[in-house]
Amino acid sequence: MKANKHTARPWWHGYAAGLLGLGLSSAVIAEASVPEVHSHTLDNGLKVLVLPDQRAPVVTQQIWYRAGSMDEPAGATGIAHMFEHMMFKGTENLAPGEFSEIIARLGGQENAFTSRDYTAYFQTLSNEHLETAMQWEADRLANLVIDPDEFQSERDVVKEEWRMRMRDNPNARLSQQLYATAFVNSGYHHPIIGWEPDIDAYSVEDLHQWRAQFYHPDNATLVIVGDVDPKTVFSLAEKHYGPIPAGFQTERKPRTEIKQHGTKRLKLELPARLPRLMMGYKVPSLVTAEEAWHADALTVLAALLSGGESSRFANELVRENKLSRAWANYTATARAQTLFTLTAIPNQDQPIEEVEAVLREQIERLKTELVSTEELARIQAQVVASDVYQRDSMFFQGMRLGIYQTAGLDYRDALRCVERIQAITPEQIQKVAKMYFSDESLTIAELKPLPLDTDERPNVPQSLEEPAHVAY
Amino acid sequence: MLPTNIIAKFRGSLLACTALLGMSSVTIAGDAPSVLDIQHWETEQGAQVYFYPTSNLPMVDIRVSFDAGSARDPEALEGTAALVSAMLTEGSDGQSASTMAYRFAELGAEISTGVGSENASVRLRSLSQSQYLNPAVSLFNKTLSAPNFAADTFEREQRQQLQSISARQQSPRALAIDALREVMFAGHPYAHPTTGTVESVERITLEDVQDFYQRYYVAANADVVIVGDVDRNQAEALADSVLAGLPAGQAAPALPEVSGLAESFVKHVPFPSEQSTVFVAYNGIARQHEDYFPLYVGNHIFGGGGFASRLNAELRQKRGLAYSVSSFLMPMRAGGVYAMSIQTRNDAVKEAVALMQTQLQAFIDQGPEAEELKDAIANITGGFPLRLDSNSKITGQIGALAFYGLPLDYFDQYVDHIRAVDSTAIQAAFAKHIDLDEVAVIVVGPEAPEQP
Repeated sequence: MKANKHTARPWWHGYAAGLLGLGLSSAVIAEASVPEVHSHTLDNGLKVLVLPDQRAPVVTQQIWYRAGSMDEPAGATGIAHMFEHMMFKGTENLAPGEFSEIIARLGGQENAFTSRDYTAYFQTLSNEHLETAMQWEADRLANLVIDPDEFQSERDVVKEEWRMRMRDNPNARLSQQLYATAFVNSGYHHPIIGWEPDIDAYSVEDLHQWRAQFYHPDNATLVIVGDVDPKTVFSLAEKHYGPIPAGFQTERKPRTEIKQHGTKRLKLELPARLPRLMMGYKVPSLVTAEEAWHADALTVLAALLSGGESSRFANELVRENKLSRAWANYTATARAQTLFTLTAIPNQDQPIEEVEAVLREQIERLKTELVSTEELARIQAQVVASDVYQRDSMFFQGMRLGIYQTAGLDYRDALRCVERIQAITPEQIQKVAKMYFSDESLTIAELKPLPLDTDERPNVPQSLEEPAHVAY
Repeated sequence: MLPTNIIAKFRGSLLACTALLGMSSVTIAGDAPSVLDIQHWETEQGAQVYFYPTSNLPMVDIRVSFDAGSARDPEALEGTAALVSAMLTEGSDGQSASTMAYRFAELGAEISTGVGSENASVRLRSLSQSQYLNPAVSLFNKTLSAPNFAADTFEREQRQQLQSISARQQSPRALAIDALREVMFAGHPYAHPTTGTVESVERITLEDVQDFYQRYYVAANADVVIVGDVDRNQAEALADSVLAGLPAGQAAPALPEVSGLAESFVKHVPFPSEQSTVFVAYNGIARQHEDYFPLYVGNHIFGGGGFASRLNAELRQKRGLAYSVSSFLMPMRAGGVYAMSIQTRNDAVKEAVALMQTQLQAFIDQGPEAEELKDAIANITGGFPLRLDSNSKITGQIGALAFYGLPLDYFDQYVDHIRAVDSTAIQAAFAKHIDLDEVAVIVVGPEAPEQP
């Protein structure tokens, strides 16, 4: 399935958080009837959001913890993800894996995921079984048991996951180095999965500390989407999550990224086939922006550059043979200052300097030329339509609410995103391009392929990180 | 659907082609109404149309699928089907690719293409109000029926495809899948990668692309699936509009049957990774085979059922050997494969392969336990509503039903078929189809495996 072959991914990819929205015209929206979210906060601080969707007798429960890799201390990077794995390893009431077995027997699907900003757990199943899922999700929040033997074996699993996602994936390693170079002191410096030596050095005590710090109802949002009655869901939430005491919330250190002074460059030489260039500009998110429209304008910018087949990258770069592939990425719901990235795969034998020049030319144009109203209208039409299309997925609707609320934004902002996007003007787009796309805050990362028969290990002592050449 | 900047605890199904029909049926007691009341007709030109109305969202999905996958690639021109598919959205009816893309975007419509070894599909997602839908369908029709196939575009798309081949060569998983197909389907049109090889793609000419298009992109070789907020009359008109201008042509002839692996085989693909990607594969069955249900349920218990399956319990949960370990049926139209898959550290490959084979032997010898069978049936039947809970999933499921020629009441009957599976049937089907002495071991990693 190639949804978007030139830009490699759909343009909403980077902000799956959900900026897509309403309509080509208000008529479209009206017909689609804007979904109504019901909200309630338990006495222990757990925020509960319910979005009824009666299209199928199915429900998804998602619990979102405001605890991602950005919250990790030095030396224990990746512990958010390791802890997520341990949440499947038993409680005072259930054996390791038993929660998964219960959900499987009910025909449900379940999993969990960790990002820089959050950790989330979910079950999707027939609506008659919602209470079972709620009962045991609450159970592992309250009664998790961290068994040392289970931990050792699960750490091996995480290590295999690291090998698969990171060690043996040159593109992932490039992105990791980009963030590690761009961010010095922010929690966005290290990769979600953690540095290898840190994974090797986890202890049970690290897991207990993580839990004590973050796994409390007042640090979580419960999102339920599906064929349910909100009142019933609220009373089930009270019954199962209500008895869990609120946690002691320690104040988090801001870890605000220090100011960058000048372009940083790095080159990663690894066995690979395709070279790749990434450019990352430091930009604010909806959370950190002085004014929210800055983040919304950046969202529009990402769509303008690589929002599918009608985007500038598809038509001016790929179809004009200037690059093989290129795309932009931006997560408006990031909890901290983040990167607006441009990624490109060069044409065969194309000098990497030329790739950079081609991308920079696109950036310059954004600063010097106002976007035409026609082009902007096209993007807004896509935003309107995709808001309707996204309602086809209950899971996605839940994610959008969870991500917003967990980021410290109001979930109602998620529902208003189309209006916000539609309000963005050509002048605002030009203004954010000028404000944020500066060499001063830029980091450039190049993947230079070595032949695939190169054995990189003899040159790299096990204890060292990637052979990245970093020049400031 | 999840963004790539998050990581999940375990990963989902293995190959896209196996995910196609992993469905079960709904648990409705008594006089069960139809689960999915699919309407079907044939157009005058001979295309098969499948329609399922939904009315909750003002949108329509239209998926046109041709028997024009890489299995139809001409001899020595592997990769032609993929190139044709890519060229469809590169300009039509004399309009440039960008003009077409702008017009789709203005309507809020989304178009996408996809190609695999068995078929090639083109999809439209549009708002259902006629002021958006009608022009979108007209553009969609031009995409299907009047591609420009311009010479300069062809050269670019050919280069892009060569780059895709390079990208596959730096992915251990892609290399392993290519090797699996090469070994298990040797001599069959399923054997080569859908993208082709560097040599074959370089040989393809624009004329080859046009010839392939003219032969296979015809009405009699097409299935049309329509799901969304339109009524039957509108759906009939839509099907005709979508296919207008396509010649009737002829359906592609049946492919030869897969002859399968004749003797055990070890294939090593050298790769400088810390982790080896391993397949242990056996001959399997075609999708339409009568033993599909017992094999499906049995595989669910053995290694296809995710976290609760035997392989996962033994290799991941007990021994921490892998993040990802599973087994899967790869049932195609002309034959199939049964395989176990693991990604594990290089020095654990031998142990992992031996363990997986021992587990499979034990499963065939003893069959599933009663409790395991009960749980698997509960999972498959209970999970049925989840497989059909969005227009997008319904479109995909009906598309698969159409391609494999399954009966229209397939979804209505599915639960009964699953519930009818017992331990004896599973054991018998595994014993009959999985020959442990004919095994292919495929390893992508730095070290070659031992001979079996």
